[in-house]
Amino acid sequence: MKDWSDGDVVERVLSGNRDAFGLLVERYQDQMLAYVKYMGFDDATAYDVVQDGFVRAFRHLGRCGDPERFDGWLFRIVANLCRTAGKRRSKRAMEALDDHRSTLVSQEPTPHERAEELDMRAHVESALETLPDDQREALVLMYLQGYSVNDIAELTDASQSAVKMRLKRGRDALKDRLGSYFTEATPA
Amino acid sequence: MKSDERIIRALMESVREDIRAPESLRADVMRRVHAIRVPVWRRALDWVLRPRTLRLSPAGGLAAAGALAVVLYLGIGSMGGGTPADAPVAQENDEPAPTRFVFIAPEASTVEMTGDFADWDPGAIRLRDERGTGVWIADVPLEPGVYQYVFIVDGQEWRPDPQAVSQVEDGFGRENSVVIVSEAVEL
Amino acid sequence: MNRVSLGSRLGRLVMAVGLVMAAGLAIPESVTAQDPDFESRVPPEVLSVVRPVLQQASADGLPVSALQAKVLEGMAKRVPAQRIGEVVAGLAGEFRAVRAGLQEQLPSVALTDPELVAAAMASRQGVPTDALARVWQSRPDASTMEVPVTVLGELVRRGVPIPDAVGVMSHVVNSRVPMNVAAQIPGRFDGARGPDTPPGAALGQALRMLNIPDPPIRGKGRGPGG
Repeated sequence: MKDWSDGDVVERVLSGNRDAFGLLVERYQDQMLAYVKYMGFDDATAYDVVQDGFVRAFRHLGRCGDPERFDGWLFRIVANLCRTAGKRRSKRAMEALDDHRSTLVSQEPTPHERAEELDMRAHVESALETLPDDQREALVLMYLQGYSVNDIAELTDASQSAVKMRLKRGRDALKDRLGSYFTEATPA
Repeated sequence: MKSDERIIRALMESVREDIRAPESLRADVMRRVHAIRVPVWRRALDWVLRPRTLRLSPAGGLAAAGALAVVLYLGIGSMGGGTPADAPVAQENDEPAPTRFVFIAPEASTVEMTGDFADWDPGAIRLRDERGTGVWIADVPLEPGVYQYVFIVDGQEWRPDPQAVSQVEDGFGRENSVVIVSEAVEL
Repeated sequence: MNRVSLGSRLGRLVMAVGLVMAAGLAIPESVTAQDPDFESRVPPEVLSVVRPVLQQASADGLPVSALQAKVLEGMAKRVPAQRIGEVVAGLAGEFRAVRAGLQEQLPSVALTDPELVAAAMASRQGVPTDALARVWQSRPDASTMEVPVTVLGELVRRGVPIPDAVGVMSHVVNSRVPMNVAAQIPGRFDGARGPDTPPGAALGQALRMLNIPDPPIRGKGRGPGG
């Protein structure tokens, strides 16, 4: 059963075997959850979005054009839900800020490196917050989820040149907002 | 790699986490999946009509055409009988046994039905009067549950089902009929 | 975005706070509130009236698909948008009230959408919340209460005294009478009911016709049919 391709599983679900859908959930839930969190949603919202995404995928499974590429189709559904989910993503920046604050007020001596790490993470999170969704998405898909430009183009239904442009603009924006990291000596 | 690119990578790495979905996510999804009542006739239609990238063998093509025929001509009922005892049993692909709806209207030219299981799409299901006696029949595969529906005579008159277990107010000043569908036996 | 020098800690803190404030803390909307599939089928004048109700219902975890079905029903029946809005809002209110009532009596109850819809219908037919709760409590496993609750409502609507209806349906649920049998109770009741056969007696006959054993007689109450 674990050898079934996504296409096999989809066929079985469409023939009435609802339990088989659980296989698809297991295969892609981590990846989807990671994407939604990296797009700035807090844990609870991310959980809801991914859950809703899978449920919606099930409901419309009959319209999945290429069942072997279920993950791409699922991704679009989840990405759409992210877009309509609104501004609750600010929560995540706040969590990062809280981490940051706790190091500022901490009485205990904090290792210098740890403080730097938290600082950096908080800064990057805040900077990502300022990016338009498509740029942020491109950066997340490439640097955090390991997709190629080609993959990203297919996932987001865009041309390769459009993707490259989003990546370039995203990188430029990060450099703009996080300038100090580009001028300090940074360990590789 | 340009040093800027290296820095970008390092910056992005700083937000990386090992993200694992909690156990409950799958359970929550499957609970909702099992609770969904996709109108089976529509699901069957989706399945037959969805864009296909698979190659169909000649036998597969015939099977698909056959499935399409069953879905489109729902009123016929594969057994052709007129009583509940003749209702077809569940097929091997897990489709529920159809629920038979009967409406007596000798004067009607067409009788259709709709309900919450068909998103209230008027004319979603067409009944058939095979013997020309004014006894209109449709066999609709429905998952177990409670549904509201009405008949539509000659495309305009919305009529409740006198044989229904119950009529309920629809809130708009009219009444809907109620059917309770449970496993194995239609009512 | 203002460029703030990141050189100072204060600068970085100010910037982070500024970003957070700029992003705003909007009241959360449920992600399912906007359903493109549904919305593409509803004209703007109806959508504008029903969307707030649906969004709130979604945020509150109410059965949105049942509310959506009611909207589609209203459209199919050519009901004016305003009226559709009123009816859907009323229905959402019923769901809310029934759920609150049931959860007060059974704090750990997990209601599925179909169960809540059935409970609201039964409530409308005259079944009080505590009666619903009592039948719910007799459930021996996690099988759905949708059909038993519907049958309960049907019996009460037909004039069966509430204690009798509750007694019978609790028994039916607890002894795992198959749902396809339980669903026939109202119909058999109708067959047995006559001018000389009061509701209690008709119910007893219906049970016997379906081979459902009479429920155990509790306290002072008689079983149905005496």
